[in-house]
Amino acid sequence: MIADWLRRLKLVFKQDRFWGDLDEELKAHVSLMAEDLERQGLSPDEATKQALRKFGNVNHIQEQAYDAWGVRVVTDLYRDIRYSARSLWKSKGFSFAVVTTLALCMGLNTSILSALYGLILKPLPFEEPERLVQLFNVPKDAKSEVRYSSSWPQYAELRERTDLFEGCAYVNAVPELLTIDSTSHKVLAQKVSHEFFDVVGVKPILGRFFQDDEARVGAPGDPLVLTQRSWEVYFGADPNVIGKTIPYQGSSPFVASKDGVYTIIGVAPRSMEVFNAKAEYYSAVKALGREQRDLSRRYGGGSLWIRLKQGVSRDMAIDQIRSIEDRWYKEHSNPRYPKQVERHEFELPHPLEGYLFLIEGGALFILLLGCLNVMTLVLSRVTNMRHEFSIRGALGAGNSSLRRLLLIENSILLIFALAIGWLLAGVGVHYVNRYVEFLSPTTALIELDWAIFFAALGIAAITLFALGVLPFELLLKSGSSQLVDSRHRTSTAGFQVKKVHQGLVIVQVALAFVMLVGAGLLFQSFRNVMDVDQGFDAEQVVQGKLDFLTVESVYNSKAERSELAIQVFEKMRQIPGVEQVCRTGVGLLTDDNRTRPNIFYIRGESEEQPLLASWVTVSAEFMEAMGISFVEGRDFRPGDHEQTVIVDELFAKRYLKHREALGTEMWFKKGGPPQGFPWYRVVGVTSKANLRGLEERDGLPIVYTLFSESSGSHGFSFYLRSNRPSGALIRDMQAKLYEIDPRLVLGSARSLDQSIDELLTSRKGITALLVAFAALALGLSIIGVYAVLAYDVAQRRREIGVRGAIGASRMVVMKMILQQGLWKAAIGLGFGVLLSLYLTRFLESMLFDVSALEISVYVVSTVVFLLIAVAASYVPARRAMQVDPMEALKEE
Amino acid sequence: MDLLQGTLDMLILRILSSGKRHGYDITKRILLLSDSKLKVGHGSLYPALHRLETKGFITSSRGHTEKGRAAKFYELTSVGREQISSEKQQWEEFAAVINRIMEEG
Repeated sequence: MIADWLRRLKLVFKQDRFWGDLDEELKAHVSLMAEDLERQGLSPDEATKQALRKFGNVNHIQEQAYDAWGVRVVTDLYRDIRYSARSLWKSKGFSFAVVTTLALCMGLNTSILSALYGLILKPLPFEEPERLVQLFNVPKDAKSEVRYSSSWPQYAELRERTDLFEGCAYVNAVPELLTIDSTSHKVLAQKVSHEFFDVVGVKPILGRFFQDDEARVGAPGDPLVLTQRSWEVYFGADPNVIGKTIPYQGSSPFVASKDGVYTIIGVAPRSMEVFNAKAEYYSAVKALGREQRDLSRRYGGGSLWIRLKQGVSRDMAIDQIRSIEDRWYKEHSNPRYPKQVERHEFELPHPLEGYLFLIEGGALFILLLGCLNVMTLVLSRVTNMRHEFSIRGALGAGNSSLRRLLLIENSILLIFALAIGWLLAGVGVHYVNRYVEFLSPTTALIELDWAIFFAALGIAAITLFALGVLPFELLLKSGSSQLVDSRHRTSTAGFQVKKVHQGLVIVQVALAFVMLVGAGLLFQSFRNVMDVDQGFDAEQVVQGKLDFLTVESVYNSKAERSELAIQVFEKMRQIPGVEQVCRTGVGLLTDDNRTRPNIFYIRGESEEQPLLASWVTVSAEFMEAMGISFVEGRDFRPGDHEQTVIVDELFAKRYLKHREALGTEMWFKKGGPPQGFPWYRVVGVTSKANLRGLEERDGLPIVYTLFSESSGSHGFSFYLRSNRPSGALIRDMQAKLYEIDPRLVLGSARSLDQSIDELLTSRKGITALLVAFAALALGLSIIGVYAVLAYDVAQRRREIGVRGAIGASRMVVMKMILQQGLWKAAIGLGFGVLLSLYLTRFLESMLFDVSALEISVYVVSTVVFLLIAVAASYVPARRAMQVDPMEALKEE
Repeated sequence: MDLLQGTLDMLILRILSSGKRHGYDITKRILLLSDSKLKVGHGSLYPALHRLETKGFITSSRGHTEKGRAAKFYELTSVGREQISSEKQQWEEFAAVINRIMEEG
């Protein structure tokens, strides 16, 4: 079969020779015949004449011989393709609209579905991934999706006591300084327990992985496993890399000695990147500092990966984990560490999940709109081509050849759409990746998924072919007389087409309206967020952070650490141009999990329900330095102790409505402080400062307590107000830290304005995307309305002509067409409003100070839509206006 | 007498089994062997030759007649040679069936 077509194709290119040969052959035949006749006694002239006569119609014979070669199918195809291409080129508007629509739909959906698949739905690339799970601890007071990861004590305990795991491993990512080829690199290390690779189920691509005794506390040697990427980047994929040594400077608290030398023992395959795409190598968790303390059981810090035994369900494993945890808390009933963990879960929450599904919802809307659009366009075109079809039919073209012509046309459109759609998908993935880096930095970048692209292509193809051929079949069914006599344009078939058409446009307008409302709501939310008063003066403030974890091995007593904190504070003051410096226990404007709510009870009030607030420790200068004003009471002053607190306005409004705020006393446990301890006592009420970002305005009230040198056990953040550029300031901050101790690392250094921006990134992204979708939807529906009206005007030329002839003015004609366009839009809008009322509830979690039923958004969307409907109707209406009655009637 | 549908190919193959021939030669040969009773129209000869060639039963080459005129000569291929016997067999079966029906009615 294929060989046969190849042969035909080859013959197509030999056509010239074929015709030459045949010509020659036939001539030879005739002259041989003439020779024979001559021999029978005829004159040469007479002989040639008679031979020619006898031979018959040379052209006919040639054609028949040509047929015998079987090349005609190919050349006919070529001719049809050329014909279709020319006819598509003639109706550029139609071709452009169809190709753009299809390309956009394919590109958009492919890139977003690729992201959805790559980030969320794709199973882990390991053997039996369904048995591989990550453990999360869900805190008691979690209202939303707060989950803690796991901890070393939990790992040690579970490994000891459970019998449902085939293995379980501990992983923690920490930065370290490596010296490779005498250059220092700050890189991210994955500290793992020795069984990690076995649990995951991968084999080294070079060397070996850790052995049981290498990852024990105090084991000699520092084995290291490279990731495939760092093996390629730093060692040029050198096969002799095993045994090489790398000096390191650990800023990690888990390394026993401050400095050391790693020995490379193996290289891990690229599939490991799913755990943390930024990690450069794996080394064994050895000495554990604070990690081993029971306190850290609550905070986690690392993750626990578990491979369940064959046949063990997740629920079974969770049940067992719960009983083990419960027992531990019973055995260690220490009032300082109340049980905080309520549940344990295996699911992997993903920061992008909600967004991506929302975005894909939008993209599917666009796909639907696109299909409707293509339907409308193709329907118009096929009906418009009826005249041409009838002529071709009259000339002898069968239905099959007309069908073939349509198929070829659609294939050409599809090929163009394919090429452009592929490009768009690439661009889309590029942008998705930019967001992925922002929102989930350890995730590997997304790749375009071929399978998804071809699925999208399949949908496009089905749409196009089903829609391209279906209307034609409808036309055929409605009687071939319709095909032949194209003058009866307002016949029943035309009427049916018109009805389908109107339905399509109404649905399209309704869908586009929903998108417009959604985008409007998000846009309004974004504006509202931007309008929120920050509540403190973030301009010209640069923050820095010192994490005690990174220096714990050196500054290992509390006294040393508080000495260090004071030193840092003094040094920062010395930087030229710095007007004010203050400190806090937690970083502002971050999602730092240590700022999670604290519970407390107010003295003299019901203790049934614990109250919630965010407790922030600040240095005495904080309010002044940040420009936070006081509603009543006073600021911190010298002589205040740790139990002196200041609350914000929201706190007063929410909890102290019925009483004097100043002087209110509270404690974080039922029954107040132990004998001899003072209560926490409110001395001032400040205006509301949105320390965790603009969107937290209505979140938790804040209780400020005084920063004491002994309270910063994790580290502290400091804030410098200065009118110098932030870059220069950060360099000075680093230099000052270096003066104190070269091993100190400045963390999270950036301007507060930058932090505010970053917190808004995801909202910005999704708003921009939805606005873009809405614009697309609008564009598509413009094309739809236009196509239908243009078609209608073309169909009704005669009627319009008659109307003109009996005295309808041009304005009347134009009004008539405009009215039609507006009617369709209005009906579509009606459905759109109903649909929006239902669908916008899915947006609710993204809305800020906007009701899903915000009237103004609906009104503006409606007005925008009506204007667009007028614009889309205008061109066809003008065309109708310009119909010359005489011409229109003559044509018929 | 006109040729029966489908028999021309078989005749051409049979005639070419005695050696290379050109188109005109083939018509003459059929005429001669059938005592001028079978007439092969030129309209069917050349398409048949080309059909046989594309099927690979015969090949063509340029050559000269005894009198030195340039012409295209056709020749059996080995596939074509095998084809003759199968066509002959088919024909005999066909003819036998037709005969039986014509005689016994």
